[in-house]
Amino acid sequence: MGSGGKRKSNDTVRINRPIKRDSGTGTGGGGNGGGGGGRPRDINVMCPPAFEVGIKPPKSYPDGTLVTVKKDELLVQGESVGKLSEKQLEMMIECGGEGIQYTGKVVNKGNKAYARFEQRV
Amino acid sequence: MHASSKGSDDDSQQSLFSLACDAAEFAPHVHPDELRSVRHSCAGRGRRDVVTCQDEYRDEFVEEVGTLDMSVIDLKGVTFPLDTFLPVVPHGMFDRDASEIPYPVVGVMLNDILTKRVSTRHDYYYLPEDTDIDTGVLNRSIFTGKRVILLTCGQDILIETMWWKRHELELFKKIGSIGFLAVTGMNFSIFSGECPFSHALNTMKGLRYCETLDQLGVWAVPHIYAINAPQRERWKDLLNARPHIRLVTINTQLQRTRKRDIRELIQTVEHLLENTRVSILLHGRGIGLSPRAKKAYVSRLHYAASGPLKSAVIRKDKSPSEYIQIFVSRLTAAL
Repeated sequence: MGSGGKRKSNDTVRINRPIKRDSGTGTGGGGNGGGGGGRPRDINVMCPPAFEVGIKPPKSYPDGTLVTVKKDELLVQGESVGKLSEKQLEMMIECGGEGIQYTGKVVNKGNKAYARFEQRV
Repeated sequence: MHASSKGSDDDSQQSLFSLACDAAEFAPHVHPDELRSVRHSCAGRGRRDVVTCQDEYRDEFVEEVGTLDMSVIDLKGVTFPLDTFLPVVPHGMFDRDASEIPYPVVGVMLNDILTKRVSTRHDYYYLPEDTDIDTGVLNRSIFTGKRVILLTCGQDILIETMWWKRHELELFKKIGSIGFLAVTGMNFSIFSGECPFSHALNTMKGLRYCETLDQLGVWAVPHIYAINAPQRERWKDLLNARPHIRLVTINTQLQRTRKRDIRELIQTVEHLLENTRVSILLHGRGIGLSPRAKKAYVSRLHYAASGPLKSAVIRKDKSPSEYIQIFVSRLTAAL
């Protein structure tokens, strides 16, 4: 992307482990996550820098209010505001296994509210 | 994260992170002085943006490029006379008439030759997983009768993903088959304050990209980022050892406002001009270079930019040719 003293904050990437090509099996080595053989997974697809989940809080919370996750439940100040889908929950668990964790915060857009999860640096 | 990255890589003030950096293991391909500028932890980074000296898989990354020794790289270094200005054709002009751009040689960006381009998702750049190289891109009308240089520059997510998937995508074979006049090296990022191992690794990735294309008979133009004196010296040594490499390129698109970044860029450009025989294709802006340097090295400085043609597409108040004329007259005003 560039050089200098400051990266662009919207251009972030996790560097994937190199794909080994010497096995001759075509299964590929290296790669990331998931375990086993098969095509290595792109960590940036597997664990996006950010994602959002629609929530329905009983009252409105200001932008930036912390969202916590308990199993698949989303909590704001101890109150349940929604759930992660099965796919999202699976993703958070898999990414956690890769050392990637997310922080959730409330984001209001018009009359809708979202839990926005971003990777912790 | 970025608050501590304000220092220049040539500053002498040392941070605690520099004391914990292990990149000196890679001397002489990393100079001990480079460690002094480390301002982020090399541990626990999770390969976010860079691979550091303390990454558990760092040896796999070194193995991938073979060595961090730049001197093993050789390129044929074909030459072709370039105008002072190289107009870079934006995607929005691909179906326009070639006569609208009064230049025989034009540039095109990597992102613009993909079947699906980089977009944003939740405020971050994102590259669609099923993207591919459009090998028919030069059949678009704007390129009729023109020689085209592929500028392999772009966002980190684009560059790093294309590199990682290069075998799966048959990247080199496809790029080599398109018929570009030349292809520039990938601009793997080099930011001050980050682990110098990552700098050396990224430099080698860019060179290996060029080398592989070169082996396929493509004129590959090395891309240079150098943000401190040892890095400038290594590039100087490589170019003097390979005098047949007559053209290099530097992407300057990020050097817009930060004075320190512009100063580093100028130092690199002037160091190469004064100590080697290469010509330099500056991709982005030519700002900051002294009129003296511009004049002294006029025949060795070339400028690539998409700004004029993008202005023509977006504003529509002047022709592409008129916008190019304005841009070029600014570039040459100091001469």
